[in-house]
Amino acid sequence: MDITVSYILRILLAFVFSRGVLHKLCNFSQFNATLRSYRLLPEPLLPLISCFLILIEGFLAFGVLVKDWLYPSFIAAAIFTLYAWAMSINLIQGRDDLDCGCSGPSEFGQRVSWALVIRNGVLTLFALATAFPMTSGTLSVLEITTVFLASIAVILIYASIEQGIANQNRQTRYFALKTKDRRSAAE
Amino acid sequence: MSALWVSHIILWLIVVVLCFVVFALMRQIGVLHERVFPAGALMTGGGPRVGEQTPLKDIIAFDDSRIALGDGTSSTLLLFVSPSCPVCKTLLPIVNSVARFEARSHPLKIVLASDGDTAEDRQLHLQFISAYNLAKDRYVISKRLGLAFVVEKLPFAALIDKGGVIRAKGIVNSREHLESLFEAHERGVASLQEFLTSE
Repeated sequence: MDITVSYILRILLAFVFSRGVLHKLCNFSQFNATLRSYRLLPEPLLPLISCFLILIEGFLAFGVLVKDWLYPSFIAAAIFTLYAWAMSINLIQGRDDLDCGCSGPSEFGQRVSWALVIRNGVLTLFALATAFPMTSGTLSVLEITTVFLASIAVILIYASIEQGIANQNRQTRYFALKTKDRRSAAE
Repeated sequence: MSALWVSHIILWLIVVVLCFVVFALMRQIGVLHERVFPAGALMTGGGPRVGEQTPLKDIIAFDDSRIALGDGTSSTLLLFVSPSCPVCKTLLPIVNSVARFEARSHPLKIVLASDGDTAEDRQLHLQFISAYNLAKDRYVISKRLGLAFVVEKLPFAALIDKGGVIRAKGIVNSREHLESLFEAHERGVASLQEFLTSE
């Protein structure tokens, strides 16, 4: 894989994990409650698993940036898949009113949705892509500039997509929209 | 620095700026969602509470026929209006449209209620009925009904279910307010405000 693309993806993943860790640390009790609401883990183990997830995400926030180190890429892919699986199980059971707890824009309260499952699928692919060997060993000045600017752009696009999903959730929750739907159905 | 370099960096800078703009717009949409709360019918303090039985079961219509509130066959939307209330007039076509739609899912009858029983008032009501093509057997003139529901401002609506239980009520000024009564009933809450607070 091209070294520039690989670094852009790594920086995006580092951003996702570091934001996740910050969010989980700042709202630790809320994160515990979110994990509990997923109803997939035994109650006594919840605090332990919360700490473990925060530690592992903290490790990945730095680990994915290390060149030629494959473990973080695979662990990151596994973590994203795990979260996607947990969300899918709840969505299949019809429990779509859970907070996703995935560090989305917290003030907008991101709920679990299939859009988030797809987002996690894409992030899994990105994490796996970083495991591919890079084409060259070092970055030129031009490549460093590209990586820097493109990373900012990619992070902003990612944040915009996440914000879009959160907006969508909010919109569907308001039954103002529902009444609008009813109105259009009536007409 | 070559021209390629310069164009490369300028293009990336433009992309970054555009991404900032897109992100800011997405945030703004989120903020708007937060601020533009759907307005529900305004609940008033007095009168029978939501969940209680309607204070009057039988009312007499303009044409002296009998209307049963909660007769076991259909829900009733009781709308308090007045021929001299301009908002009530704008609401009448909306009431019919909403009722048509709601009637698809469950039987619903619309009853318009007003007061003023003098000969002069009756003339006004008659003009009102013919101007808006209202049904006389669904138009009630009853001061008692207004007092029973403690109607302070018009237009005021109350949704009464088949069993005669008040399911939602409030001052309604728009289609959104009117629909919020049905929505509140469907969601098992007293008012839209209660639903939003519980969210």
